[in-house]
Amino acid sequence: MSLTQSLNAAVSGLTAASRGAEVVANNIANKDLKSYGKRTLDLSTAVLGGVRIEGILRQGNTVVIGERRMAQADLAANSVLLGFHGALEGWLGLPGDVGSLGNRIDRLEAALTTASATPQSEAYLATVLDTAQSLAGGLRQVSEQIQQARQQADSQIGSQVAEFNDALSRVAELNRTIVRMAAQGQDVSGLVDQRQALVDQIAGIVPLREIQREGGQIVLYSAGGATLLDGQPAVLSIQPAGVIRAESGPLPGLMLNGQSVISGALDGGSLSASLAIRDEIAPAAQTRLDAIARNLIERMEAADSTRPSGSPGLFTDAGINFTASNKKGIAARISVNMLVDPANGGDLWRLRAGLGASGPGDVGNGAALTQLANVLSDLQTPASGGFAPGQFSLSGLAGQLLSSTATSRLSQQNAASFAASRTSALEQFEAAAGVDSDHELQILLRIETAYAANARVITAVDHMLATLLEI
Amino acid sequence: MSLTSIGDLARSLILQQANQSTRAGLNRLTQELTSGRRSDVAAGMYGNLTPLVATENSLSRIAAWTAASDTLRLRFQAQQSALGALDGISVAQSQALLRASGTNQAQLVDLAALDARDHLDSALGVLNAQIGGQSVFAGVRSDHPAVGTLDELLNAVWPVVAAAPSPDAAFAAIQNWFDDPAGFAAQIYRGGVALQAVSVGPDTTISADTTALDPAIRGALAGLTAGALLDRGLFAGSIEGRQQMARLAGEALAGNAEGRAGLAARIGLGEYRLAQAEIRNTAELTALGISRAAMVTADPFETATELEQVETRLSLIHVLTGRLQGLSLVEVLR
Repeated sequence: MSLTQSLNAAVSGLTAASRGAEVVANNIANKDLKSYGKRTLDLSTAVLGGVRIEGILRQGNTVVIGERRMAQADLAANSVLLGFHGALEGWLGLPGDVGSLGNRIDRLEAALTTASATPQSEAYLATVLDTAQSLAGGLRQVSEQIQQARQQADSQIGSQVAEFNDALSRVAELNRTIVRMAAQGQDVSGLVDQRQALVDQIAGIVPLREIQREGGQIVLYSAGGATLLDGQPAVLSIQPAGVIRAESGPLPGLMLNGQSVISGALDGGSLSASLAIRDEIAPAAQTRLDAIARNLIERMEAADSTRPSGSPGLFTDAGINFTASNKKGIAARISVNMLVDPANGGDLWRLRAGLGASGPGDVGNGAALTQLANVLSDLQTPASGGFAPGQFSLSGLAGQLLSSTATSRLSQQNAASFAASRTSALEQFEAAAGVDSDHELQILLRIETAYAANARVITAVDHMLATLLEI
Repeated sequence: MSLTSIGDLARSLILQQANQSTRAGLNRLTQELTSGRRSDVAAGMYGNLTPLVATENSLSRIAAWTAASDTLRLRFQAQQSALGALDGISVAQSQALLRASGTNQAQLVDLAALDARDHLDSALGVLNAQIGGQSVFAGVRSDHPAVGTLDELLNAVWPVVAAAPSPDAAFAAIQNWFDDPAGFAAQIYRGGVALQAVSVGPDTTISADTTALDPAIRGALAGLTAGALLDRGLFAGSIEGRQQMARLAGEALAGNAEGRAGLAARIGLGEYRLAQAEIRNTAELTALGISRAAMVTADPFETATELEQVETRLSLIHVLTGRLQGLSLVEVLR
C-alpha cells in the first residue's frame, strides 16, 4: 500500500504548489493596493503523509495600522483647521496689499489727513467718502466670508456624518459575513481587506481604536471612548443649520444614537475640526472683527462734535445708531452714513462741517476733518473682542487680529506637517510589510521546482505500478 | 513577518513623497525668485505682523502728510510773494508821500495822493492773491476774495474822516477804523477766521494762519488809505492840512515796515518748520522703506542658491526612480 501513499503525498504536494502559485499570483496582482494584506500559504505535515494546507494567512501589523489611523485623523483635523486659518489670513490680507483690511484703514486715514489740509477740495472729500465706503465694505466682506466658511463647515459636517454612517453600517455587514464564512472555513482575507479600507475611511473622520474579537469580527471605539461598532453600528445625526449669519445663536449639535454627544467623545478627526470651525473658531474671528467695526464706529462718533446724541456718526449700524447691545455681527452691517453720500441724497460737505451741521460753513475749515483723522490713530482700549490688554490705534487693532490669525495658521501648519510626516512614516512602515515582488518571484521559483519534483514522483510511481502490472 | 522582505509599495511611497516635497520647494522658490517677495511673509516674522502693519500705516500717513505739506508750501509761497509786493508798494508810497509833504507845491501832494490811491488799489489786488482758486489771505472763507474793492474801502472810510477837525484827528480816526472790529474787519474784510493748523508730521502741526486782518497788513492799508483819501479831496483847500496828512501817512507807512518784516519772518518761520518736517518725513520714508524691504523681500542670492540645491535633488530623485525601476527580479527572469 505504500506506493499509493507515495502517490497521495505527491498529489498533496501538487495541490500545495498550485495553491501556492495562486497565492503568489494574488499577491503580485494586488501589490500596489494599500489596504491589501500580504497572504502566505500556511502548510503543515499531514499525519498520514504528504503536506496539509492549513489555510491562507493574511498578514497585517494591527499596532502599526492603529497608530497610522490616529496620525491620519490628526492630519485630517489639522488640514481642516489650517484651511480655515489660512483662508482667514488671506481675507484679512497682508498689510500693504491693496484691498487688505489694514490698507483700507490706512487709506481712510490718509484721505482724512489730506482732506483736512485742503478741506475746500470736493475731490478730496469724495476720496474720504470712497475710502470710508471701502473700509466698511471690507469689514462686511470679511464678515461674509467668515460666515460662508461656517456654512461650508456645516455642509461638510453633514456629508461627513453621512459618510461615517454609511461606512460604519457596511463594516457591520462585513463583520457578520466574515464571522459566517470563517466558521465555514472559507478564506475571508478579501473581505478583511475591504473592511480595513472602510475602517481607514472612518478613521479620518473620527479617530478610532479597533479591537479584534473571536470569529474574526472587530469592535470599534472612538479615541474619546464612545462605542462606534459592537455588533450594531452607532448612528450619527445632525440637523442642518441652514443659513448661518453673524448674529445667529447656537447651532444644532451632533447626536450619537439620538443622544447629544458627550463632549470630547468624538474629538480629534476632521468631523470635530469642522464642528470647531463652525461653532468656535469662526465665531471668535467674527467677534474680533466686530470689535474692530465697533471701535471704528465709536471713534468716529466721538470725533464729531456736531452729531446730535442718539444719531449715528460717520459709520452706522446698517443706517441706524449703533448700540453696544447690538455688537454681535456689527461688522456684517457696518455702513457709511447716507448723510454724506451724494448718491443717497446726502452732501459731501457734511464730512467737512460735521454730520449735525446746519449748513456747509466755511470751505477752508478743516477742523472737523482733522479731528476725524487724528481719532483713528489715537491709542484706545477696545471695548470688546478679547484682545490682549493694551491700547491700540485702529490700524494697530487690525494688526492684532491679523497677527493672531497668522500665529494660529503657522502653529497649525507645523502641527499639520508633523501629522503628515508621521502618517507617511507609518504608511511606509505598513507598506514595508506588504508585497515584495522579488520575494514573491523567489517563492514562485521554488513552487515551480516543487511542482516539477512532485510530478516527477508521480511519473516514477506510475512506472513502478506499471512494472508490477506487467508481471 | 520576515525582515528580509520589504514591500514594493514602501519604496514607491518614499520616492513619491520625496518628489512631492521637492516639487513644492521648487514652486515656492520659483515664486519667490520671480516676484521678489517672500512667499510667506508671516512665517518670516513668526506670525507677529504688527511691525509690518505699523510700517505700512506710517508709510501711508507720510504720503498724506507730504500731500498736506505741498498744499501748505504753495500757500506760504503765495503769501510771501504777496507780502513782498505789499512791502514794495508801502516803501515806495512812504517815500513819495514824505517827499510831497516837505514841499510847498500843492501839485506834488495831489500827485502823491493819486499815486497812493492807485497803489492802494494794487495792494488790495495783492491781498486777493489766489493759489489754485483759493484766496490765501481770506482764512477759512478761501472761496471768497480777502478784501473788498478800492471804492468800497474809500466809501466806507470817508464818513469817518470827513468831519475830522484836524489831520491828526483824521488820521487817528482812520487808524481807529482799521483797528475797530466793526470797521475794516466787518466792512471790507471778506474772509473768515484764520485757517486751522494742518498735520504735516507726527505731532507736528503748522498753520498758514495769516489773514488780511493781520496788524501789519492793516497798518500798511491804513497808511495807503490816508494818502488815497487826499485824492478824494480831504482837507481840500488847506495846503498845510493836506501836507500834514501826507506826512502822517508817509510816516505811518515807514513805521509799519518793522511790522511787515515781522510778518514776513513769521511766515518764513512756518516755511522753515515745514521744510524741517519734510526732511524728517523723507528720512523716515527711506528708513521705513528699508525695514519693510527686510520684512517682505526675499533675498535673491539665498533663493537662487536654494533653487540650485532643489534642482539637483529633483534630478537625483528622477535618476533614482529610473534606476530602481530596473532593479527587479522580473527583469532577470525573462
